[in-house]
Amino acid sequence: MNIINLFQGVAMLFYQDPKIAIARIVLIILGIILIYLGRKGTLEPLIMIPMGFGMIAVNAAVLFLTATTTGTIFMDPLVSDTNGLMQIMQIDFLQPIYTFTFSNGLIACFVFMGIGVISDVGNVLRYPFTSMLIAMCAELGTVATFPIAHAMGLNYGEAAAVSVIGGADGPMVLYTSLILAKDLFVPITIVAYLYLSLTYGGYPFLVRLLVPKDLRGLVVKSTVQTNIKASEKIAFDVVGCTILCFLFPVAAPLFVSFFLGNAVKESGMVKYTKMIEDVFLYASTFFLGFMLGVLCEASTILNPKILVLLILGMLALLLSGIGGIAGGYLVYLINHKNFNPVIGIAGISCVPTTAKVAQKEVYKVNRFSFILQYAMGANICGVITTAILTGIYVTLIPLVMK
Amino acid sequence: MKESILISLQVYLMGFAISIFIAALIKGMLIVIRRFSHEK
Repeated sequence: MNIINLFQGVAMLFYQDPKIAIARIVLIILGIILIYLGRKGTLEPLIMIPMGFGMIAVNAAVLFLTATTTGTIFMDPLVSDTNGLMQIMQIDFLQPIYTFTFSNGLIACFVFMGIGVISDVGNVLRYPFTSMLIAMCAELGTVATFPIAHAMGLNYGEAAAVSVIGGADGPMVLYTSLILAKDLFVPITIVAYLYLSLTYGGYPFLVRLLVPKDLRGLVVKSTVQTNIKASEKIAFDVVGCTILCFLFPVAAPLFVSFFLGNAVKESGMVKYTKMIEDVFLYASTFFLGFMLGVLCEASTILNPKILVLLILGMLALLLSGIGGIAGGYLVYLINHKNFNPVIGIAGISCVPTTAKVAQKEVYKVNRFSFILQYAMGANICGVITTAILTGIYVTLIPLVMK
Repeated sequence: MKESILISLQVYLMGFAISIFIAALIKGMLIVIRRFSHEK
């Protein structure tokens, strides 16, 4: 008996197709890099550290499941028949989490509920038109990437799923790809989360490139001094939820999660607020990162479409950034130059990262310019507009594909 | 290609219309709520 066969993870490197074996080693190294960059703060540690561990473990721990088949005992995302699923659920330790929270979008809804809890819709109510206009301009990538993706060989469902990366909202990408591009949801979601982690580092350069220094330091003279009451915010949650659920029943789980989360906070239910923020949001984020890592098996990543997805994901976020700043300029002109165009970048719904990026870039030029309230308004509207566009895509694309 | 451009335009225009409708609704809702609470 060969001693190496005792250590199946190592033995598999020699037994498998060399391409897969090399990909496994590359992914293990990539996992280590993700943990390092997460720890360093270059990438989002909440996602990247669990994801890195998942990638390392799943690519190292390959074994013989039967005499002829190989795999891992983490989970099987491809199993579809009920008997097989029941059997695997008793063996693979992550299968129950995958089946009951991931593949039905529940985890995305939990994250969205958490976003609802940490969001303040007061700024949306204070500047509704400005915020919505900027947010819609910042959706340029979400729509402009679609025809490009189709021209690059993706079908309509896949093109729509990858385009939603332009909305810069991780749960939304997960939700759309689960509905429209089930075969590609793993690579699309991984690409989305990798890029979203980089927004904090990338968008400041775009802002500096597109907005001259004198405009970046512009102080916005506030004309609206409205105090928004909690009851008004709850009324907005109720109305917004009702209308959007009426319009897009397919995306209703996301809408209700967001507005319910916000209404819970505004109602002053401290225990529910804590439960959603501390338990639902962080537990979901942790498992999202870990599961994405575990889904990064060598065979998945060797999908020939991954390069196309990498290009399209970056293009979508770049176009959204350009669109957002163009929206900032548009409001600057409409408001007779009493608006800082940098706020446009906050229209991208990466709550609250892009709003922070906007304030940070403005603060670097002028310490007396505070634009965070406008940026947060645009930021929350970005979440709403991305949800609307997701709703339109998941409703429209199946009808077009018929 | 042409069809995909038309779809993306359709998605954007629908999204734009709904967003502006929601913004108008927020304005209207605030006016109604404030007037109602003022009358009280």
